[in-house]
Amino acid sequence: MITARGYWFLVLVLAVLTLGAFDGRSALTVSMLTLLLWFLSQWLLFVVRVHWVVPRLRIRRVLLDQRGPVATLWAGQSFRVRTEIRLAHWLGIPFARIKDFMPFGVEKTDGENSALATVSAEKPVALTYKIRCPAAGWVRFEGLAVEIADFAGFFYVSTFIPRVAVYRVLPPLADAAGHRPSVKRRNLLPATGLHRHLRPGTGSELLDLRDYMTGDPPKTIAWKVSARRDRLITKEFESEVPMRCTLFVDTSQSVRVGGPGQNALARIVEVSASVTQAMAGIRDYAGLCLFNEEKIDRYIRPGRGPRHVAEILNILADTAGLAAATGPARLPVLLPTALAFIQEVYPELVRPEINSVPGWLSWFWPAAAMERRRFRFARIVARWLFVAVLYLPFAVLGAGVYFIGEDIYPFLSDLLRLPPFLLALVGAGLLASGMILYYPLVRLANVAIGRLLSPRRRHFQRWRKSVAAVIAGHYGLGPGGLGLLLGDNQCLVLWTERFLADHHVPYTVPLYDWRGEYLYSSPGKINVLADALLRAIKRVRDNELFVLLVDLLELVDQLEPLLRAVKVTLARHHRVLVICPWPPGIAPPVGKAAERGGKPFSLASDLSTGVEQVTAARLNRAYMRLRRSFSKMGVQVVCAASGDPARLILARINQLRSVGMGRR
Amino acid sequence: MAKNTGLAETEQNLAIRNYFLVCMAAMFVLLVLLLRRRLGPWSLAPVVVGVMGTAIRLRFAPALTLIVLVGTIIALDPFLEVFGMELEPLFDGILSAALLAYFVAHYRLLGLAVAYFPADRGKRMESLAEAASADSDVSPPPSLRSPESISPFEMSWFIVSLPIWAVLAQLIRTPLAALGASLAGHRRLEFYELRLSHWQGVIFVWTIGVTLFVLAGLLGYLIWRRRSAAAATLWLQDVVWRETSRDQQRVGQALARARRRRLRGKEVP
Repeated sequence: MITARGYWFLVLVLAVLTLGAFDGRSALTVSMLTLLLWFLSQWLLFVVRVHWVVPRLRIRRVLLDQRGPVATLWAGQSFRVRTEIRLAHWLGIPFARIKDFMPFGVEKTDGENSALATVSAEKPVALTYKIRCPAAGWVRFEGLAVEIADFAGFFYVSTFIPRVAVYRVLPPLADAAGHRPSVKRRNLLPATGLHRHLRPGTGSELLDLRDYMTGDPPKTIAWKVSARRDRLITKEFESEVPMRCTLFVDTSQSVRVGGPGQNALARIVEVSASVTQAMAGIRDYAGLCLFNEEKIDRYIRPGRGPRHVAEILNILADTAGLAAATGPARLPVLLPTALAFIQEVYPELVRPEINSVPGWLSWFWPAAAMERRRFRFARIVARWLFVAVLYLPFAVLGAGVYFIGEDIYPFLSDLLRLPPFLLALVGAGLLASGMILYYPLVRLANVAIGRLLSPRRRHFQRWRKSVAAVIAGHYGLGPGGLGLLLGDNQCLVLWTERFLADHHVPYTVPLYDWRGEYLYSSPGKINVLADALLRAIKRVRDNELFVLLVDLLELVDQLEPLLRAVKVTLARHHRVLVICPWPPGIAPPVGKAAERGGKPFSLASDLSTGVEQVTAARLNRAYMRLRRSFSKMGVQVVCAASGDPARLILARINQLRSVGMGRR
Repeated sequence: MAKNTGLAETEQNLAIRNYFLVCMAAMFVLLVLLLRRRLGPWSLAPVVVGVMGTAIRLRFAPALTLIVLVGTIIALDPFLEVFGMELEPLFDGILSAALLAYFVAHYRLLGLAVAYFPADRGKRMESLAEAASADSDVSPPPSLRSPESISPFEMSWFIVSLPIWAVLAQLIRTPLAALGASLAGHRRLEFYELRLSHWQGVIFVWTIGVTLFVLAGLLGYLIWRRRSAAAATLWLQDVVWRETSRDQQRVGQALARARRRRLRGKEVP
């Protein structure tokens, strides 16, 4: 609370006051007493403001679009945020910096989310700014950061008034021009050899005649035909053919890598939402299946209607907000982000009087258990070597005493007036106890010197404790949980990732493990997807479209279960389309360049360009292999980054509608 | 809008000028007082430091001025020997008011012209900005005190309060000095052979120390009572952890080792 300026002022005033008082200088004594009294009054006033006035700040936040307040946001659209701060206390805050903590993943397009202002009961402060949500997911407003200082700069506090509000950001609205066909093309002439997919219903075109069944409406009886055949015949009319499409959306870790709105999942969600809305617009059926590397997360049978579409869009919005998480993430990368966020949003919980870090912790707290696995054998050998070298002085000492003992024992025996055997016993005892104590003491000194030479490691231990305590408190893990987090790095990493993901804070995750293997290939999803596909075709009718929005670029060698499931699907007269998301920042595969493995490789000017070229070439080759694998069965594979996958899916549905699958 | 901005800037400049004038006036009073105490050309030393510090907006100018003033008074002031220390309470009061005026005006001037908030927040925001990949606005805004916060009564109340603080200090000092004198004359305490001023110093130090201690304790208790539930839970959790940290560490490491054994042969390192 007290700033460096305040400390210096107080120390100087107290020193001069003491000096003046002891030296009998009334001028100095009275002057310093005046300054001290004034300082104490400012301190008292500041404390009252911080602890009694600031908590009485009342926040009201409204999100508005052109028509008024909204409870749900849409991706790609701008919204006005109006935050009003009122103070319900007669003692105002003369000057403060107030900042509405902007959610991560949104863009501020206009206005200011912070203000330097005087807050009083009569004069509320209003912050108005515009945000744009680039992608579907969640937007979380945490609250208001308030900074207060006195006019002289002796006291300063940065606090946070929590006012959490979470808004769902729905995927962008499909525009009619882009993704929604204006005319339902149901009367196209089929190609030679193909037959229309027809179904009896309530249309106007005659489809077929059949024998009358009890319950058929009398108006459908074909009287002339009935008279000719001497039995009642009923007319069947052609129905409109609502098409059914099920979207299989990959939500595994592989598509979550990247910031919110910038990862492959965001693109998949966008495509799925567009297709769903476009299909709902023409009264077709759209279904959804969410799966990850472990299980089928959600399955919604194809349906139509506004409620069904809203349900799908809500689920897609929730899915888009999923963050990547992996065990082997590096704690030194996560901790600064987590600590910075906690200091900003939970400043009260990292204050030393609440969340104290013992002085010894940064020096002598042992490394977490899971850190010790690498190079285990080398560590054991090194430790025994260390022990051997440590005890070398004792060996030398023992040898020296043995060789010159004959001369020393009588001398020491005379000096200490002890019999030689007792002297030898005492010496042996001292040596043994020294040897026993020597190792732990040197180890301790070794650790302390190591920490002394590495302030970063000391800081790291302090951050660990602070962050682990806040996380344990936040999730109610209790003191045992705190001990667990401090003793196990992997556990702390997972909980920290969860904490950051829950607060929608983007964080960096490692892409490769210590052996250089890609961490996010998620091979388990192949079997899950195959299973989902087979389950889906059990319950559906003929002639449906299954769109697999799945990242398979890292799994081209393990496609066999999925290919089998696709073959069964095709054999059941369905269509399959694969949409493969493409990593952002890498040019999509185009034509023959992709077959060759992307752009011709050139000597890169720097390392990052080189890595990017190599990655692009590898992905291009994988994509082409993927296409070849599926094209053998007549299944089209489309890259999500090139062209317009949503338009392609809708075109495929129209094709199905008009020409059906059946070769009769 | 531009007109409003111009008006605000004018108000701000006016406030800066006013505080600067107060600093200069305080230094002038100080100079007069020191000259009257027959310090001669040495009277200029603290005044020059103070004026220069304010002119170039030096952050530690008040501290430097005070140190030079103290050095000058202790080294050169013959006042103590000539007149004794109880003879000029008016002088002490004016000196106190001038010093207080200089300190307050200078620091407020810094808040208006240099920086109002300390800059320790920027560092921790950097990592968040990196994490947010510059999408979100997390950089701290400028921190000069805005003209809207300058109340018309601020300056007048400040000037009026100066003698109040000085008088209050005198009122506190007088009984303490009397108590020190009575202690110095006490027969039982003659054993310590302390001078009058030393007794007064002891009384001052004890009084101020105890006052600060009691005040800090009282405020700390009142603040503690207003802690949130989350903070109280965290504190309790911290207490239990500190008392059982060694056991917890052993348990945690045993669990980690068990999991490591379970994962042996799998991909997770």
